[in-house]
Amino acid sequence: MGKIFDIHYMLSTIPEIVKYLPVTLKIALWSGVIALILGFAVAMVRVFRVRVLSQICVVYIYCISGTPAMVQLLVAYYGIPLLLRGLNESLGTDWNVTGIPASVFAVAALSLNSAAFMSETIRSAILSVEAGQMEACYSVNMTTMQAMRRVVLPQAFAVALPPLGNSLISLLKETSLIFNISVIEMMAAAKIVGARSFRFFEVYIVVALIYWICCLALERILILLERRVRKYERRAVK
Amino acid sequence: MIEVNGLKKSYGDNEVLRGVDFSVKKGEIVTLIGPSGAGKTTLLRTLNWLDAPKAGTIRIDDARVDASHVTKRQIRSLREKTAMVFQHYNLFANRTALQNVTEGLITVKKMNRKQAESKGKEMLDRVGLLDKADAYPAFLSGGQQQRVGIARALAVDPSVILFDEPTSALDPEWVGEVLGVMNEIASDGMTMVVVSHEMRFVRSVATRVAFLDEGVIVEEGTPE
Repeated sequence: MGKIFDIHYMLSTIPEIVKYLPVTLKIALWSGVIALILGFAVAMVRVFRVRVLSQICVVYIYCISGTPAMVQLLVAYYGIPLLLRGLNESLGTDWNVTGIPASVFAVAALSLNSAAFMSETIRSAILSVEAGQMEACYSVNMTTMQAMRRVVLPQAFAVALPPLGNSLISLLKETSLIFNISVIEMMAAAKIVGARSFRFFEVYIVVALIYWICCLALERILILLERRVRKYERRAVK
Repeated sequence: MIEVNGLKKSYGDNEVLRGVDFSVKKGEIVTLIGPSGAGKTTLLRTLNWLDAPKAGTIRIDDARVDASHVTKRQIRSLREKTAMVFQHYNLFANRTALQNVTEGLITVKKMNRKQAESKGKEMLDRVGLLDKADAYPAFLSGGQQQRVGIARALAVDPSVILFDEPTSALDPEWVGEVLGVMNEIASDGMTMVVVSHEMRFVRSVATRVAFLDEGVIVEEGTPE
């Protein structure tokens, strides 16, 4: 029997695991950006009650929030190629189905998942800006779009930022699921390293620490950003 | 200058305006008074289409709108002629006092920033708040916020300023400063339509008083 907890071994695995941190961050970043854009678009569709699209968005949100992220990931991984194959056969097109890297499915699934939650955050933030702000814009003859861009959305952003930040942090952590669809990121690297020595506990501790540090850094950035965007608000004395 | 004919408006089954005929001449200061629920504020808010009437016509200068077939362009032409001072100020919370005043100049009138700022400062000076130009609304007192609201309305050079109970949300100590600013604007010849319970203003400044009850104007006359 070896040691119960081999700290030297644990430290020695850090470089091998950290090597895959960029993969994790890249996927998190892409998913985050796409989710924010898509979430914003869905929120606007619902705020302005765009016909048909609005109903489609509601169904989308229900589907996403009612199923686990893990299942969505697998459905995207196996489903999108099938969909493309079906399209190829029925339309006679020639898309390369097998050549798509798994990380694309990962980004697709994670961003679709996160966008559903973000859209609700953004929508409620927009609705939280009181109607008087919009009316004041109209009173100086601004258009609805000008009013949204210059007055309503900046205020909604300040409201939405903390929960959006939470969504981004969740998203970063959810990238740990994507080793399931054969993307080699930190989690997958840890499994591979651990399998060589059967010291899984040590490598998972390393993964946990790296995620923890990344989340702390992200939280820090969000706090600074929040201070900036809320500068027009008065705070009660403590 | 303002001509309103047969204006009707209801919220569900509740008929708030039942065919209002109303006119204002250039330079007049008309106060709308009446019991609560009489439709004073609604009448005021239809003049710049913050509330859409279901029937009737509104004309302000050459802007003409018929409630039965109204276009976006007509609504904007009506709003171009008007500006409003709100009961709860409704200053843009994310903009400083100066930016509140320049917002309409920059986004709507397409003035360049420098010109807009010099005009904005002139307006803030007029309401005695030049030293608060860079303060956000949340850091101003009620009276100061309302004076910024008046500066914002003045800046866009409207034909008429609509005042919706401009002093009723204010502590008594701030009412005087807002009324003072309104008196000055009035003496400069601005056309004003004012919903007010403030008898001091009605008596000292208004050139005409219109009494509304149950959605119609029942009496009009001089303040006496």
